Amino acid sequence: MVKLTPSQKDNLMRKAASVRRKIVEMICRGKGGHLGGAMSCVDVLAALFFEILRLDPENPFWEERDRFILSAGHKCLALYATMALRGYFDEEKLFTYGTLDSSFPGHPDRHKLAGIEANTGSLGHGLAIGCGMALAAKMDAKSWKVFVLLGDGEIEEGTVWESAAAASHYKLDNVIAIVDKNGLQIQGPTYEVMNLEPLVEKWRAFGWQVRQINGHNFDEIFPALTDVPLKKGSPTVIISNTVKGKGLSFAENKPEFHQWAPTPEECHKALKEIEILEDKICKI
Amino acid sequence: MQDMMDPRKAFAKEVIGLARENNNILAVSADSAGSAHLEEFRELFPERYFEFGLMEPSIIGFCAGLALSGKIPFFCAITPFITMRAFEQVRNDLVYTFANAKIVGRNSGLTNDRFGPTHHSLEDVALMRTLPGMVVIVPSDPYQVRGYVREAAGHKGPCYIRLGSVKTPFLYSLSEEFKIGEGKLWREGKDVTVVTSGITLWYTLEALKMIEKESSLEVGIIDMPCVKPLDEKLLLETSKHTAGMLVIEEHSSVGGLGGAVSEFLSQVNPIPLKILGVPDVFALSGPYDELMDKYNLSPRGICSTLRSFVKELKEKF
Repeated sequence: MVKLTPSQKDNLMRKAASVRRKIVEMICRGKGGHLGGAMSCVDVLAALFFEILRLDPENPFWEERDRFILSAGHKCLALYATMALRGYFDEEKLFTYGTLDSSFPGHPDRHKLAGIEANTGSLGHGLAIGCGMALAAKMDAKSWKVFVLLGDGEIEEGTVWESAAAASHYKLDNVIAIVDKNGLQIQGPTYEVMNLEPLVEKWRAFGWQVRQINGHNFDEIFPALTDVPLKKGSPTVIISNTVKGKGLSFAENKPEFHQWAPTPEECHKALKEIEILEDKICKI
Repeated sequence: MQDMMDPRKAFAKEVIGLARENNNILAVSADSAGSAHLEEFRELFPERYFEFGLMEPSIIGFCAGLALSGKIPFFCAITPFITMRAFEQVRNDLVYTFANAKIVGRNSGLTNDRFGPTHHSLEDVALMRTLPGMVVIVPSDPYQVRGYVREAAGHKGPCYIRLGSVKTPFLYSLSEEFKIGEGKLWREGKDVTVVTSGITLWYTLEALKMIEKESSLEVGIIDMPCVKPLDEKLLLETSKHTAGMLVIEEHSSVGGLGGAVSEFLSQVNPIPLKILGVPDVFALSGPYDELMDKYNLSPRGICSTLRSFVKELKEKF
């Protein structure tokens, strides 16, 4: 099993903290946005963009790149901030978020930002698009992979399971789905809104290889996303157990922070917490 | 007896021709190789034929992913399922994303006659033409099917092609060229001009044979297979030399070709206009010819609508 070096891990922790800061700053300056889900997937995105994905920020359309689709498009503030820190564009541009001509709309748009692979936002679309890409890669004997990040509320959409069946049918072992399982959706706990448990068994029954991780622990995230596919000829799903709103004590595990339109006082409080988080990482 | 062909066969023939020329051409099916006449494609290019079973919404997503990776998929399925069940995927994954995939609705209009409203498609053109950047084509004869399948393959972006399942005669010649955004002026007519697409071009020609035997009406005809983008220039020019326009379509009279023509002409040259489509109802089920006759879309129905419209024009204007 591959392991992160201490310096890689340290770098990822710093990057993740910076991404969390940017998310809060964008929401504060842009006067609102999807907070909870963006904060829960930060660590997985940091690992993907800084360690896992084969990519070239200077050449976002590089043919041989791995594809990343944020199927849960509402978590896009995490993606924008991660891409900024990875060097896709100038970080300052992030703060056009919330304005009319911004490259950073409320859900990702490939026509507005190079590096976005699919126009997501409506849930249950990304896995199908990713499977189509993976099929094309197989046809052309290409080695690039397709990573698709889904929300755990999103997988209530029937199209996710249509795609899961097709990925397995076509033996798309170059597809890696990541379920950001923060356990909450707008109306409350996912198991109360629509219980999909036993989730692991469901994916297995659809022919997928399943691995469960703590989605905030880089020692688990890194090997899980590196050692793929788990089995030749089968698609892989990583169930990433996370905390909605991770990084802000007042927002953690609270469905009401799915979307957040903060007051100036709340922004101040949130940024103070981020500062403490950053200090803590510096001291490690 | 005129030479006739099923439009789905014409489609399959052209896609096979395209696949011979371009390795990126794919055929995608939702459990319908037989009805889409794609068995030969499957035999010739098994590695480029994809069967996904009955999951039309997701298949649109697969097509988008394939197209975003350089492939040109032609996905053919029963019209209401590909355009209505999967509408949001068509909107977001194909058109908003601007993926170079082509969707082909088969057994459109009333051609799934006895199966009833769940299998009829009288709203598909209306839906498809609301999508910014979508190309919407309703071919009128087998050569036009082939021409537009080829046009669609060469067009970078999403296209919707609507096919019936009733054999139609060859109304054009093999050498006729068909372009996206271009209609065909068959003839000018000062009394009234018919604007139509699909099988009703043939039925209009049959209707005119009846009318011309007994009157001296001058009826013009525009074949408008490309509902979007509409040939506005042709419509405007023709509208200046005719007393009124009768749009005829095997579609709901709400939002189809009639909607497109009236939206345009009402703003630039508001001449009298009538739409002969299926009225705003779920249609009956029954034999195709009887259904078309019931809604006045048969040659006989077209004939009587033309006569009454011309009479109305002469009385009122």
